[in-house]
Amino acid sequence: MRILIADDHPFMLQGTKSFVESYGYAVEDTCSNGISALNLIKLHLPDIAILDINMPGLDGLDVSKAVQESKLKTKIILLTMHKEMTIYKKAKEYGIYGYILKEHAQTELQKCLEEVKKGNEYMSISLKNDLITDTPNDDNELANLTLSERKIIELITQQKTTRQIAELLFLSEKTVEGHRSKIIEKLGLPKEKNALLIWAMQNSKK
Amino acid sequence: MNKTFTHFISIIILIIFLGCSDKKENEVVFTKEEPVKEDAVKAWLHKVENYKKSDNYLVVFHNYYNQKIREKKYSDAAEVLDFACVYLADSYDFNDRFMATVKEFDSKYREELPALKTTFVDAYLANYYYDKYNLKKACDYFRKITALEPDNYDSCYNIARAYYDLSYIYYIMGKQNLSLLANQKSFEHFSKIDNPKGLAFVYSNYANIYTAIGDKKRAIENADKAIQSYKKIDNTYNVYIGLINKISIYEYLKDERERPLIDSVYQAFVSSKDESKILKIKIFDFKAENLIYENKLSEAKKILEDLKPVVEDIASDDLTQEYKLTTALYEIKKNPNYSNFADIKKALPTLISNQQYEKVNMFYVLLQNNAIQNNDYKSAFGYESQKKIIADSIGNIITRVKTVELEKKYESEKKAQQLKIKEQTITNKNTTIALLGASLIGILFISFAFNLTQKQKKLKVEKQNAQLYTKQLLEKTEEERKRIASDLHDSVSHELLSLKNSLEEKTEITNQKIDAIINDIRSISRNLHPVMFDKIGLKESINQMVERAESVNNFMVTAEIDYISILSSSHELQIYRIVQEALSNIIKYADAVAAKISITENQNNIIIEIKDNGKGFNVDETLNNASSFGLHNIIERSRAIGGETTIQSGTAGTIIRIEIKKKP
Repeated sequence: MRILIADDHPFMLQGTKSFVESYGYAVEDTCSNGISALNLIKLHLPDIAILDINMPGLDGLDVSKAVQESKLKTKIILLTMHKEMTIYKKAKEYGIYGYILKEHAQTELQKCLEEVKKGNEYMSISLKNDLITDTPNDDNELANLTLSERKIIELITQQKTTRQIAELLFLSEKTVEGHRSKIIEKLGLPKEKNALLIWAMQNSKK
Repeated sequence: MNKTFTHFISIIILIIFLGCSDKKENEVVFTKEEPVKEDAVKAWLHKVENYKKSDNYLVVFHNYYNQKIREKKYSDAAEVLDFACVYLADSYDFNDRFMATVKEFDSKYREELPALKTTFVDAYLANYYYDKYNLKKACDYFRKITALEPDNYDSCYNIARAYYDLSYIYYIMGKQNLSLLANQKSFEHFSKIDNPKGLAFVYSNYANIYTAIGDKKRAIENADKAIQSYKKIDNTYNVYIGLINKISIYEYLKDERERPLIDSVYQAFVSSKDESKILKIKIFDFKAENLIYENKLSEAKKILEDLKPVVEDIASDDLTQEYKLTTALYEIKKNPNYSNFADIKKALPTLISNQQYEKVNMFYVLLQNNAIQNNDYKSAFGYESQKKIIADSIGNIITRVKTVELEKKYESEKKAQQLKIKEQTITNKNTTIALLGASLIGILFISFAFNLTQKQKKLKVEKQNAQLYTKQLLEKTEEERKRIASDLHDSVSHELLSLKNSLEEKTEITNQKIDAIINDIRSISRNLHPVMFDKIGLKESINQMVERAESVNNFMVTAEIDYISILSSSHELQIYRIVQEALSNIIKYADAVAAKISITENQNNIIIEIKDNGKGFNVDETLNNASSFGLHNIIERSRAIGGETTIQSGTAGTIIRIEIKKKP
């Protein structure tokens, strides 16, 4: 296992190197900017490259993209402060294997390395958590529902028709229908007429 | 405008003024004064009959005159000298003794008296030179009189008379233009004293001058006026003279009205039983000629026989000759081989001088025929050349008349043309004025329009500058925010992280605290600037915003973004900010069930629409409200990227729509 680490913060770079080495992996190259990183990847073809995103020259995403475009075998793990789903999504497009946040490097880096070594992808748990920040905890059944689904139930309790709901939520009737069957499925309701309405009325009374 | 008006007024005043002064010219200025009582001798000398009848008039005059001179009563002396001068001049009596008296008075005593009182001296001398056929000197003396300005009836009469005489001399000299001018002056002066006789003379003079010029119309007009004036003073003799004059004019100008006029004058004269022998000779002579012309020879013979004793009684050379000529005409008509030519030959020079060329020609024919019969070819040849000269003369007269007629025609045409030109000039002037006015207005309009466009340009430039400024301000703000965000994110977060790692005493609480701070910084940074906007792009950033709004605010937003990046990142960022602002407004105020964000594009525009089904608001009122920063923020931002914002709001919700023109 040959690993490359790139980070423009020297302390961070040093810390990461220590962690990686403490896990028993050999760090072949370290560098502090994207351009060097890409050159070293092309030169040494490391198995894994742990890249920061914000770097001078090329950023982590650029390097990932270049690696993907060059069809290099190096697997990329992004180690970043960016707790952003959008960035993760963008990075996924560039075929990265791992995405972990720097503050959780201590706890997640080892696991991530292991998974990537196996050829699996690894995404930071805290990033996943970030997406569901405001879920109501009081109702277990509702907790599984998305905001749209919850909104639809809310409108069903107001005796709104599918068409009215669609209009109110700026959705198509088809989408609303789709949400309805998804809700019924999620709640495990019988496939009867008005089953959802009855359930909604009962729950809203609580 | 004012100037034109003043001009107009002054022109009107001028016209009125001229109108007044015109009237004045025809007004009677001087009236005849009451005659002063004269002593017996002077009164006797004053009477013209005494001069005509009495042989010792001049003796009486000299005695009286010399006595007054001795007494140094020059005024009385001048008065009687005046009478004598007039009477003598009228009868062309220029004897040496009287002439000496006049010249002595002229040189010695004249200065004692005012110039206007002694004009008779000049008049007498003028008449003297006229009689001696020194027309130039005569003119000079008359002009001495006409140089004066009249101050009473008598002086005005004298000046009028001098002008009249002057006109007559010019007429004889053939200077018809000067003659006309002098006659006009005479007319004016006679008008001032309202002297019909004088005016009649003037009209006769006019008739003569116009005849000489060949102006038939005016000649006859003035002959008629003379007749009218004579009728006014009831002078029958002169009325007939006027009529005879008119007949002569007709004759001279070859007018066919001559013969009817002769007939009517003859009729009138016969029925009036006028005793005047001179008139009878003149009128009967004309009548006889008429009858001969009409071939009524027996009637003509009767008249000629009737006239014979009268002619013999008068025994005037002139009249006798005329009678003899008419008789000769009669004889020729009766007998074409008439050969008593003595009278004719004698009369020819007079006829020629009177320009009666027709008669002359006729007689020359007779003389020539006679000469040929008598084999006197030399004479016949002479008559032939004479005839030619006469024919030329006739031709001259006809030509002159025709020329004048043509000239008049030409003049009237010229006048018409001039009038036309004047009219045209006026129209042109009007057109020019209109054009000038129009162009002035045009210039005003143009300058106004120019000013307006300049102002508009200026405003546009100012607006553009303001927009540019806003744009730059917004961009700079964004840059600043981005910098702060990345500083926070990159430096502070990393510092905290290394702090967290380097803490010797690691506790769960401090770790959690530091993580919380990092998260706070993250959220501050994210709010300052969408993370890695350049990389992520508008679509994903808005989707992220939507997701966050749903999860954080529990508010349902659907996003429908059908947009392929063609705008610059900074413009996209502004769109992101607009959506952010709109969405935050909806969440804060709209009380809506849901909102929808859509970004679509067609061929020309990118359309951003943010809809909600909230309670809505009054757009105009809100925009005028100082607290509506959010809406103005949207409008300003969209303007900075060349977008047009429309906001519709009602109870069914609000639609904010921004259209951005794609750059070609």
